[in-house]
Amino acid sequence: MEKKSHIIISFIIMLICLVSCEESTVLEYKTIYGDDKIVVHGFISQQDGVNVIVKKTVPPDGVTNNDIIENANVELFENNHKLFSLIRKDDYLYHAPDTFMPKIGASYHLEISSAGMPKAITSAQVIFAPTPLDSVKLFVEDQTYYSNIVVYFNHYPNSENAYYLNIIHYHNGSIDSADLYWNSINLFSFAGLIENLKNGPNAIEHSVNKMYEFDSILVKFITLSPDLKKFLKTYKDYDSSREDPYYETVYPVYSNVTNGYGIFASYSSYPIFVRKDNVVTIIHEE
Amino acid sequence: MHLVKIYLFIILLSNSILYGQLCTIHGYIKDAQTGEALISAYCYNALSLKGTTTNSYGYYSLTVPKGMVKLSVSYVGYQNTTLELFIDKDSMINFSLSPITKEIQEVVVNQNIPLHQQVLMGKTTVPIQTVNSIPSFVGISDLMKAITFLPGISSGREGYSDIYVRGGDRGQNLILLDGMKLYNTNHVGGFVSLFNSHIIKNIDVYKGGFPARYGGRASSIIDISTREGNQNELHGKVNIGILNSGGLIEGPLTDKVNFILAARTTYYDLLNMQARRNYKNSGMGSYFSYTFYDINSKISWQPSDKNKLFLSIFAASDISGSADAAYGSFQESITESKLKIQNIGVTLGQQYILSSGMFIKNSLAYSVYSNKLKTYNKYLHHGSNEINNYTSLSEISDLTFQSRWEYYPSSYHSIKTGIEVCIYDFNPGLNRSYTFNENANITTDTIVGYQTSIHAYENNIYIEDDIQLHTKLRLNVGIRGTLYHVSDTNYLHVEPRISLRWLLTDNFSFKSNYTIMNQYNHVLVNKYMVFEREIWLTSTKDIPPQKAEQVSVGWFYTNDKLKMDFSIESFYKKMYNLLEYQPPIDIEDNKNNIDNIIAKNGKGKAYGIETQINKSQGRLSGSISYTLSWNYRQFANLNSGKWFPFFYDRRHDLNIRSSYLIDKKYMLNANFVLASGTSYTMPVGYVKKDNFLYDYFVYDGINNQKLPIYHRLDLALVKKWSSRKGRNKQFEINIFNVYARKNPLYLYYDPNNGKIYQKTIFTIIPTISYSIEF
Repeated sequence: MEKKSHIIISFIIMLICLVSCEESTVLEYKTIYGDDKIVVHGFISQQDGVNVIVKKTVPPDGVTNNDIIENANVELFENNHKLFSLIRKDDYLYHAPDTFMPKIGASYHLEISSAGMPKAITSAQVIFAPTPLDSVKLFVEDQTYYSNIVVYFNHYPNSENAYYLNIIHYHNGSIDSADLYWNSINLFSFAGLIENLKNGPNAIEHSVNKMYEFDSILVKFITLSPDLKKFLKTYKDYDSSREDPYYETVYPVYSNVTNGYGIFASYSSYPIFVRKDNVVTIIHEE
Repeated sequence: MHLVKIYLFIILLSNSILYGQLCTIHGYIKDAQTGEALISAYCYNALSLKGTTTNSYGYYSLTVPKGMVKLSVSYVGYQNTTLELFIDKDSMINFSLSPITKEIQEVVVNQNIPLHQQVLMGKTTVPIQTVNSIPSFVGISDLMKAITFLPGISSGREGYSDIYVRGGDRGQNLILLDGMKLYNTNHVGGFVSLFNSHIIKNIDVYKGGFPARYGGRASSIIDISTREGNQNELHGKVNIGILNSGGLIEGPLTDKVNFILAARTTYYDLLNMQARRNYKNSGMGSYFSYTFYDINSKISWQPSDKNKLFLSIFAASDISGSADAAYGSFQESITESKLKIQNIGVTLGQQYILSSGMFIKNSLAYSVYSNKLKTYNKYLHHGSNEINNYTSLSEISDLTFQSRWEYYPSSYHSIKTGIEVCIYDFNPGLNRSYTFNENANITTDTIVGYQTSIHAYENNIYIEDDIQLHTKLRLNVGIRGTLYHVSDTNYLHVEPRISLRWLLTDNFSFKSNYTIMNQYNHVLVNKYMVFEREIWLTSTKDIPPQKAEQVSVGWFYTNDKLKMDFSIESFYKKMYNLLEYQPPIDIEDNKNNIDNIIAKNGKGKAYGIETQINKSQGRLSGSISYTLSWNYRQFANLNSGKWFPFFYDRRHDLNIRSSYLIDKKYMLNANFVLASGTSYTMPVGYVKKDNFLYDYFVYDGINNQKLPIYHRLDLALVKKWSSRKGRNKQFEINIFNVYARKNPLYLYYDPNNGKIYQKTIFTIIPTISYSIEF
């Protein structure tokens, strides 16, 4: 009788085991959210002027909420003297007049105010000369899908500069439609960040898509300011931690905006045009 | 001047007279049935009112006046022995105690010296019966989980075997198994510890008041010794559970040599054997496999009463693999991976009684921990194959020689001194990735990380004395010196250790201690799938040793009538040179030196109050422990340099453990755990994607929120009986998380609706196990 009871108990246990073996249970959490804060994503350079996106934060569970600030006033300061208010282009984008060119060596910052929100002030950004490229070479593989471009430049000692390569393809003098789209959004992707270079001459390789059948490419070698470098690095780390379901530590994205979030940073770009008939073709023998 | 000379003469004469009137009784106290040494057994001379306990090897030494002695020898669970005899010279007297015969013995957590009388405040000896009495996760008794029922020691995540001691991190615990250092103590991704409770004899846990003979870790010492095996007859045990099984065999080989061998394995792999076969035969489909095993063995040889040698071997392995093959019209994709985690250790030890009152223990131990990951990816894309192979190896090994001397010159002193020499070999991360394209024959072969091992040398010397200053005041003072050498860097540290116990009354004492501990080896934890890979680093000139400074005070009371202990302790700990992962997180993706991906020079502070009530005997026994604590960290590169709560900052931690003897055959064990949730970082806002940048969450600090309170109840019903052939049998039903509380494992964000969810993977888990002894 005891032996039978053991068998019955074991059978019941096995059943419960099978039934209770669920992998996960989901419960909804309430998020916390304080007041709306101003968000600034702005860039300044001598080549491209001042372009700033201004909006506000939304609650963490309100990803579809409206983030437009209806009545923002965005003021540009040069060496702590107010220059002018930026011109609003659409719901988010503000820019300086086309005639405005930032001066090398000058320091610029933004102050953004809006009714009902604390005034946001960005860190000052210094305009600097770009790091020049010594040369660019384009290599095309005749059997594979991709081509490679190599840029040659000098990285100076004790420089904390980080760099970024932007490649734009041209067909018959017009920008390729895909590049036009990608360059109108995501001005900087953290994946393209180039850093930790050795002092002196450096060569950086970058892939170029053969599919575009371009006739020339515009290579923009962009030197990033320290704040922009920090922002892209922290964004990259933040993005890595977000993918890990067991992450224990979150790495907040760097912000240089007081009473707000985001980034206002300077950069400087050095362009070089490369015509396709100047490429070096690598031929693989069968 | 004359008076001074006369005074000195009288002192010296008195001492020599006294010395001439004393002699030393010493020897071993053992289990009469198995021959196993009994640790912390009590030997007391009722005539001189002096007593002592056996050391970790079952050896005692007691200084008594010449003449009649009345020795009383006792150990919990064993019948007392009394011996009256006349002693006029140093004598070796060995005792064998017989266990009290009961089908189910009362489970106790107590010391043979009452808690209030012990000098070392932060030390707890956890009897193995306690480990086996705690309802277990998936039916496997877990030593590490049992330790979390002590105040001041908390568990990590749900189901994991990590421990966090007084605000320290998981890598700050020194775990010794028969003298070999263990660097990883988990199976099954951390859900089960490596320790087979059937072979464990003694577990000493130090969370503060560390004696000078231990060092090298900032937060705790867990010193585990295994049994030597039955010296009289052959015995065995087989244990069968739902997920794993194990066996043990022990006995004498000759009249002076005995052995013990225990092993465990899981048979989860049997469940997916068919899926693996299908994949191997057809190259299609997918599978996930996992298996673990661990083996403990020990051979002991006692050529004479004074000399004993042993060889202890330990091996544990976890192997997991997965594969997934997908085929489409224009592409195929095959991914295979294998992760192997191994712990292997060997100790050769010798115990020698040099003279009465002098005991020596020498040992040579080798230990290695490695984890190796291999992945294979094959993509068929636009007519050409691209194959990528990746291997990653992380390894640490050490060879340690120790010589420990124990000297008992009188009842008032117990002096321990010794040296330790360690040679470490670190391989913190050697990653190799090679890719080839079959058509174009292009190969890339990238090796990152350390390509050669790093050697380090640690030399330690210590001396400590347990001094009876007064009948009510006892002091343990010690000093430990360490010289750590790696590459062209040397670290030299001197660590004071002091503990005192003041008997306020016969049952009530006050204790206090102060310690400094330096830690030269550091661990970072990387996650792959559900498993954790530990990567051990050495201190270098860029990575200074971690340091912890701790002070604690406490009051202890024993009620003999109720058989209960009460204690309240408070502690304050400061930590320096802590390490934390600094982005990038994925170490396999790191193309820089490992030094560049860790946040260094962190600080920590932890403080709190611990209380415990312990009932050691009776039909109902158990303990209640409660800890109130705070735990913070600060790094220059994290959280803008501001202090933030440690991830495992649990404000409240309550553990209730109980055992009830229903009758001679049945016992009911119950645990209840209630703890504050661990910290996590909750965003305070969200920035939507725009034309310039992708979306992201924004935060006002790291670990700014707490998960909900964690609580669960575990039950176990144990039935023990003997068969007609005299074989002891046990049947056990375990229920983990009886009321299926959905405790959170982690939170995750759903980008589709912007909401945050809680993940729970363990609800109610019943298991059964059956064991038979022969």
